Amino acid sequence: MSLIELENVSVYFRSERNPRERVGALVGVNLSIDPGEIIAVVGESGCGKTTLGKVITDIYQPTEGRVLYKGKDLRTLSKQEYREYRLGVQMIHQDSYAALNPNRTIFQSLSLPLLQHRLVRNQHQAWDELAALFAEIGLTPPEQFLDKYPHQLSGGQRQRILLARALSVKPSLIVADEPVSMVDVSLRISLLDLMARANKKLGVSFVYITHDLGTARYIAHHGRIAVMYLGRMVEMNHIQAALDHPAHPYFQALIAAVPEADPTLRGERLAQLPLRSFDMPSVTNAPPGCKFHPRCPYATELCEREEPKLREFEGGLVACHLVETIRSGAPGRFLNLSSS
Amino acid sequence: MSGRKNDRLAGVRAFFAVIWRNPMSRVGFLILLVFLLMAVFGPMLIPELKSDYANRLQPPSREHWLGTDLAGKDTFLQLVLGSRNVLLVAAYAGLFAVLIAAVVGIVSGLQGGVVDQVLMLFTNVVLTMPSFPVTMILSMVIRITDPLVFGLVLSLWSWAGLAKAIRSQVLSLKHREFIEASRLLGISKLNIIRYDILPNLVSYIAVNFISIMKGAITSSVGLMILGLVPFQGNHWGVMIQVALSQTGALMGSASMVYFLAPVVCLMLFQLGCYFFANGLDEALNPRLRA
Amino acid sequence: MAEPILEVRHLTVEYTVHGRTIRACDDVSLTVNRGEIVGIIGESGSGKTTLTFGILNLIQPPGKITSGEVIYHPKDGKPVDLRKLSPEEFARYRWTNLTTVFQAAQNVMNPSLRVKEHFLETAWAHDPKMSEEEILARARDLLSQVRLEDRVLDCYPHQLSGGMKQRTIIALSLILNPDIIFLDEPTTALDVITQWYILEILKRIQKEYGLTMIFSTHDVSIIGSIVDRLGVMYAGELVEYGPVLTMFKQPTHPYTAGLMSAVPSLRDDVTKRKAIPGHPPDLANLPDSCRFAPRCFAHAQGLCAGDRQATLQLYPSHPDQYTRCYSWEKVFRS
Repeated sequence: MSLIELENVSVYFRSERNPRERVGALVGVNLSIDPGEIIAVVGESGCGKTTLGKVITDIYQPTEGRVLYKGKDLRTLSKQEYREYRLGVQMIHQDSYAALNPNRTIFQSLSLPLLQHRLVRNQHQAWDELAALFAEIGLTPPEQFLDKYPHQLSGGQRQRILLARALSVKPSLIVADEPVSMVDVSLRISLLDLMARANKKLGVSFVYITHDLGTARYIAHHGRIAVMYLGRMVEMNHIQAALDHPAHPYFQALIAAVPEADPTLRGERLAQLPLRSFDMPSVTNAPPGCKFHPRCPYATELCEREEPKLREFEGGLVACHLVETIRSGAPGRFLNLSSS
Repeated sequence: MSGRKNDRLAGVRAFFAVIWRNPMSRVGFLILLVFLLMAVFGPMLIPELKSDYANRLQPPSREHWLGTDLAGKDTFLQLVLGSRNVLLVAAYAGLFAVLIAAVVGIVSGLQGGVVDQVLMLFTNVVLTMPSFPVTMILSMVIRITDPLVFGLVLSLWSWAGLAKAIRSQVLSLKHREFIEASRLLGISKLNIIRYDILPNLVSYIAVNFISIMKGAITSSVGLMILGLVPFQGNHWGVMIQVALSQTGALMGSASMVYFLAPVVCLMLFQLGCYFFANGLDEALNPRLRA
Repeated sequence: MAEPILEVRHLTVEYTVHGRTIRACDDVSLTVNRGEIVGIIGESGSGKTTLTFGILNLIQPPGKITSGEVIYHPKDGKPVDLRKLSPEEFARYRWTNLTTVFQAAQNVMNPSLRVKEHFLETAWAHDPKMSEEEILARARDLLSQVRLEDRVLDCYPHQLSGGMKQRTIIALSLILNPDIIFLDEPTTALDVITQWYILEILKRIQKEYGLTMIFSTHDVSIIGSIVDRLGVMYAGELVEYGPVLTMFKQPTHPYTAGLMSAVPSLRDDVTKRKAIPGHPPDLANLPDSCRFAPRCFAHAQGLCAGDRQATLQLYPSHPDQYTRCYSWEKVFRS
């Protein structure tokens, strides 16, 4: 049985400009997360990946559709069951400074949930547990971190503390929303390794939300990837298959755009991206039909009318009318940079 | 495990270190300390004030440092005695105002929706009412005989501004990630208020407490000068009122000192409040301390 | 033939806060040749932004440039030490010879002026004789180079998206035919596709106008796509400098090697990635040893003692490449 399941979930907000209009931050998303798996959710800003994370953790409630925890709708859980869900599904924020109470020491902040939920009996036990957890996470000696205020620690250290905090309540799933984007480049992998270890040793599932495909591949290399665009899920597959044979034209463009550090591969970079236009529409003025069609080099009249549904294709899921023709090498109208 | 007690002591020490470092707040703190000591210990040390009609309205002398009043009582001693009630009234006013403002502001900010709208409507009404005339009317209706009631009445019109400010602070805090994190960890609403919201409001409230005290004193003295408060005890405001109405102090006479003494004390107290509040924000904020 | 356009010699920038002095930029020397694209890579505490600001005389108190020279070689004319210029004299070089493009979030655009007014004001501040038609014609030409339509001229900054603003700023920086463009994190906070686009645009205009570009960023993956020479900074010092191809394949400083291994890409072997142990340097609490020693794998393996004195200079390693690691031959022998 899946741990978390999203059934046709949509989250609509009232548009600021026109209160009668609604903005779809997330539209018609189906997702099932199993125990012990790692899923990467990628997309650019405004694609709805953060909203997805907040729906999984019940910070936002779906306007349409249901979120199920262990098969039961969140809204129908009893108090006891909801408590199990609440501790079982945690989140790590992107900004580690904003995610910690600036007026409390690390120990004060992290011991509160343990004490309130009676996961420990008293302050001494809380200290011992947290010290052990910190040692696992590589924050030694623990006193040096537990007695400090958030502003006295570096970004990388704080991010580890966020992971420790999430792990301290023994969750079965952690949603990590861009956890390394504010951390120094040389330290990112160590944080990702910690998450991978928690996944392997403790069986904690991870939903890794990011715009950086490189780190997504690193952490989810045995898992799946979901690609979001303007609130819709447009592709979902096992990550290596998805990266080797991307099906959705947006994902193809995204992969082509990722910069490659290796300068010897510079000649392989495309002279043009497989896109028809560069300007990204916002959620407030989403185009009709397929949301990607204005930028899609293969778009037909069908794409302008009808929004494609997520369907099976080559072992994964894609939301595109033309994926078969694209795969067999249909020509596309690309934007050529060198022409003026 | 490091001593939690040491932690708290270190915090207190750090607090005073910051107050001391800032020259303005250092002066303010000292002024308030003097008045506090005066208020607490003064009345204990002073013998019964004796009327001495033969020596009334004397100018300052070695025997009577600030001269004597209408009934021959020593002015300076009256000043000391009066300080206790001045501080008490101001403190009660500040306390009640902060309590009401905090409850209204926090509930309004956290609950939102209809509760918020109703509370804010009420707050706005109170805010736009002219406070002094209303307080005047209230004090004519209610017999104010002791500092607590006096403080309560004064607080009724001083909480509204602070309530709105607290509400905005709560609104901005509500969506901060660390509060979201607390919700994710299943922290109860009460604990969120206690540990996440209140500590971030403390410096704000403390600074406002001081300025409400300041305002309360002005109002209380004003009311007394107008003779609207049948306050029995010793109070600087009473002294001023008596000086004005019964001794023609402003016409320039020996009773000038009797008039000026409480006025100067009031000014000094206000100044002390202002200066002290100046350093409070920094002292209460761990980010600026460490 | 490589001719130098900018020579930085022993530039040091100090900050004094609460009685403590830190050197955000410590005795940095490097030479940039005309027409090159130089990348400066560094993480938090590296000093790369301070270096750029120091060269451009943009350091504000409590920071202060305490030593060094910045020699600029204009195309025709004598070399000039930018540090010796007064603020007014220096201002004449800004926009006409040296321009800047900073991170999109650090808005240099005046929110109450339209884009065309930005072009006009900037041009007139340096050359009051230019006519409005001349300036706008050039502006339109530049905007088309960055793939923006003419109508952008009539927009206010808030009407443009992040990517469009950044492209506008790039166009604006070229209005007076500068020699060198300094870019600081120009594509951070922009989405991947916009980033790709902006890098392509920068490559093209660099070729078209023969510009020299100095790019500072923390994003290691950009260097593969655009940079000719690479400088790596750590704890305020320049630790390695050389052609990007050899730096990437044959780094001669443990930090450079560590950085290249620490960044996951789409095609590498995932198991070969390794983070650099330890944590970023605290400029207020630097060790007495080589500044990288606490995190250096060679130091940990006993291959190098990490002597501070020996790290006070750069050593030539591969052709045209310099490193601060005095044990490089031992460490990178292979």
